[in-house]
Amino acid sequence: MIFLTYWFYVFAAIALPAYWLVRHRTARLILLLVTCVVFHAHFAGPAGVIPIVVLAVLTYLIGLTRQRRLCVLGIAVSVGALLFYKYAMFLCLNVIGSVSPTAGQSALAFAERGMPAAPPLAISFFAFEFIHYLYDIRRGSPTLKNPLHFANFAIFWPSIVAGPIKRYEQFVPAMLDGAGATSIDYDSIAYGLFRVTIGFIKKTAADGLTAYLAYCLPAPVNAPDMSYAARFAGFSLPERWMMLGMLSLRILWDFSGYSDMAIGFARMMSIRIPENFNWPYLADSLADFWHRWHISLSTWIRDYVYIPLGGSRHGLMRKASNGLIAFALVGLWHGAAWNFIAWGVYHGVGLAIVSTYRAALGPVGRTLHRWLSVNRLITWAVTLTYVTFGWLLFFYPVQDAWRMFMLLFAGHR
Amino acid sequence: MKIVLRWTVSVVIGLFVGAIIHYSLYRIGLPLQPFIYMSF
Amino acid sequence: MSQSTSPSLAAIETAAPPAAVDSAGHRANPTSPAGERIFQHLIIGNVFLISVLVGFLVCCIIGWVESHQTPFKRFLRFHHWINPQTQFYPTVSQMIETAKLDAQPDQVLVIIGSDSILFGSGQPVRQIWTNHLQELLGPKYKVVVMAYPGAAFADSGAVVAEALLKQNEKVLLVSHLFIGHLNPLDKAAHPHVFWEARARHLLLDDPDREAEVQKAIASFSEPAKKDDAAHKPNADPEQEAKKALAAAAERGRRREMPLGFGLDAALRFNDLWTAVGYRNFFTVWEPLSKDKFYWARKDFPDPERPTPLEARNPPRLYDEHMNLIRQWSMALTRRGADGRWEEDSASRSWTDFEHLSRVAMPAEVRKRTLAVVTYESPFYRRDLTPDETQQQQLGLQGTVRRMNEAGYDCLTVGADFSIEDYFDVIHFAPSGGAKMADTLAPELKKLAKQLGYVSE
Repeated sequence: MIFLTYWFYVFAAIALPAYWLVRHRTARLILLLVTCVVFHAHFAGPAGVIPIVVLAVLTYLIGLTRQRRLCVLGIAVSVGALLFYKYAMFLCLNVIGSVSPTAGQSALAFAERGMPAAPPLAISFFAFEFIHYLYDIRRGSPTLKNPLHFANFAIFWPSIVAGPIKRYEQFVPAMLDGAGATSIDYDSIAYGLFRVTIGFIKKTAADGLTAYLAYCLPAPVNAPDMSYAARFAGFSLPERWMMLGMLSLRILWDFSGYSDMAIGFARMMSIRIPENFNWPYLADSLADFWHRWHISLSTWIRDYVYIPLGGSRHGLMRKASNGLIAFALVGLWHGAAWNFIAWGVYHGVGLAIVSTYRAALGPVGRTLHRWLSVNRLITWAVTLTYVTFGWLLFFYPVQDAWRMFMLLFAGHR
Repeated sequence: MKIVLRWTVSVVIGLFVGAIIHYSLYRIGLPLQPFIYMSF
Repeated sequence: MSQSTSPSLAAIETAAPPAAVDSAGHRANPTSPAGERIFQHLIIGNVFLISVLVGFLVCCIIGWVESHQTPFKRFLRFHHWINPQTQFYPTVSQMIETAKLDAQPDQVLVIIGSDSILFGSGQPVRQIWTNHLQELLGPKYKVVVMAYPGAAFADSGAVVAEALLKQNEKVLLVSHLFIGHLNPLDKAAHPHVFWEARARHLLLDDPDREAEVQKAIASFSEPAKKDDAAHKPNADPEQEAKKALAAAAERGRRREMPLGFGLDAALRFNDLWTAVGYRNFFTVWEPLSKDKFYWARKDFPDPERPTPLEARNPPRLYDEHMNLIRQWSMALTRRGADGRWEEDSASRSWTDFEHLSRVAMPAEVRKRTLAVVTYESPFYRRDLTPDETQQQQLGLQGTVRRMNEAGYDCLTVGADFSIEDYFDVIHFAPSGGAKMADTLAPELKKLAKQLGYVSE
């Protein structure tokens, strides 16, 4: 985790006080950009900086032209970069390879010639932010003419590595507001530091849960004699449910802890970035859950996948299928593997049911909806259970996840 | 009274956060997994 | 439609910045989460920040105090629960203070370093071989076990010995190595003691070793080789990706070691939180303590237990152990023109070994070091072919000769030990440990006399 490295501590101990002591807005923005570049170059390596610089320059220049076709081209380049760097192996081996293994291997060998040892740092985030930028410009939003503003938007160190995914219309005014403060804002620094600390505590707790679960359910590569499900079967029923609960807490604290730290560091520079998690396990419906969980990602998918596909404007069937596609992509964004897609589809199916049952079931649906509206405890419990079961798909291969789900209702073997 | 409460809370939580930051430096240095020496 | 909650961006970009604070003096935002509003009502920003600084500095000061004392008051050895096997890392300063605890001014400190063989794996603490060594050496010596499983020849106890030497203590070091093998600095399993000591300037000057250190630091910063990440046919890409991530994380951790220990030398966080973990409560979950992970480590007893003879050499491990024994000698020998086995002096293994033997420790430490090379259990050795036995002998002889040439006092232990003297393939049972003490005690006395530590 990048924020939990000694280099980062030294970096923050220098970059943040320097930012506070510089009082002129433009000078602060220049300093911010320099620190962002230093940060990215250190963790990505000199070669790892090239993709973000190339895509950022391309996106900025296309944005200046405001040409709709060029915007589409720029979006395609960002999508292509994301597919190449992050999904080439998956596409070659799991998609092409499922039809023809030889073709898949050949495709991968060809792709690997141009691929670095690891995907460029933060590609999932900056690619999405560049796509958002060009899409909004194509639809008429104002351009960021000032290259300093755009550059800081593109490579802002608190959020570049693990989100939240920024929207330039919100971020740039917030950045200018923060950078324009003429006195040191102790309250913002204090709150930011407090958020960072909360994030660290969550992350540490999540690491403990991760270590515990990895020990109880080791990856088959470390324990070839037993699958995840086979090991899960060796635990008692209460232990299995306890591990499921730990899995749910682990991922919440892991993701939200990192967001807390990102939001906190930004606030230490008096820059507000939007909340990314809002007590998601208190959601009383699946739609509510996705308004609380990884908010920046779900709203991005809504605005740049679901709505462009047609959203809910073309009847129930299209609404459901658009939702499934959108959530399959949500899953795929988390990792290049079938179980992530399955997890996304699982949530897509749930949302499709939740959003269409009232209309689909007619009077029965309307009655059910009214009853559920006044029994929030039940809807909360059902939502939490559905989400929690979904984590099995997120973490484990599909077959294992299904068997583990069944084992939650089976006796001890 | 309120200002005394705010001062007290600020100091207590501040000291706690300072200790957590110090502790986090210790946690960073720990390896991801312990080296469990499997004797022959 | 994208969410544009702000006025025209162009206007924002060119306008003067808005007022920094509201009428209450806060940069309040009506859409702040509830937690933030509560925080702003309860906390005074600058008081909080000053308290953070004070809290941090207080921890640094306590850490400095902890680094000048030992938390291990009734110390016998760094057993399983207080060594890196369970995420517990005694700091080098704490180890040094532990070694000096209760030592008399004129006593010769005999530091037992390196790994599980000298640690006494398989020997309960009341039967550990060093108790017998202490009896044989007498009150002019103080035997201190600084070894722990997985530690390298030149790490753990060797670093402590060197630091004590720099403090003008009378020091002898006993350290174990395997046939023809020494760990380079960047490959050691538990390098933290060395790096800590270096950052705290506790070590003697040694330009040759420092050149190795610089090479190790440079190797930590090398980027991942693309071949490491290349897809292997029939491998699971997801598992390959996970392995690559774990390897990258480990590389990142090693790269940070010089900086991390440099910070620690100033801020002493390892000393404080290790002491807290020992005396008060532990905070790191690890798989061996399980639901007792938060217990203070002082509350865990030394877990070494004797193993009955019939359980010592399980058949399922026989092949693996025999292969290990063979491999250790294979790279060191070759068939000569006359068909007989001889040392392969030109082999990379020997040239690396010769180089590492000279840079592992400064000359002043080497001449105070009894380097021990041990035989494996005859339970396995008896099944070696005559050729394999000859290869092993050549490997052992070559190791001893090269170590002596590098300035150590090197000897072998275990040639005539029985199966009962071993706890497993390489570790000694209490009887074997006692025999080892019988072998080492006269050598240590001779060394102490040569160094002028004792007159007889």
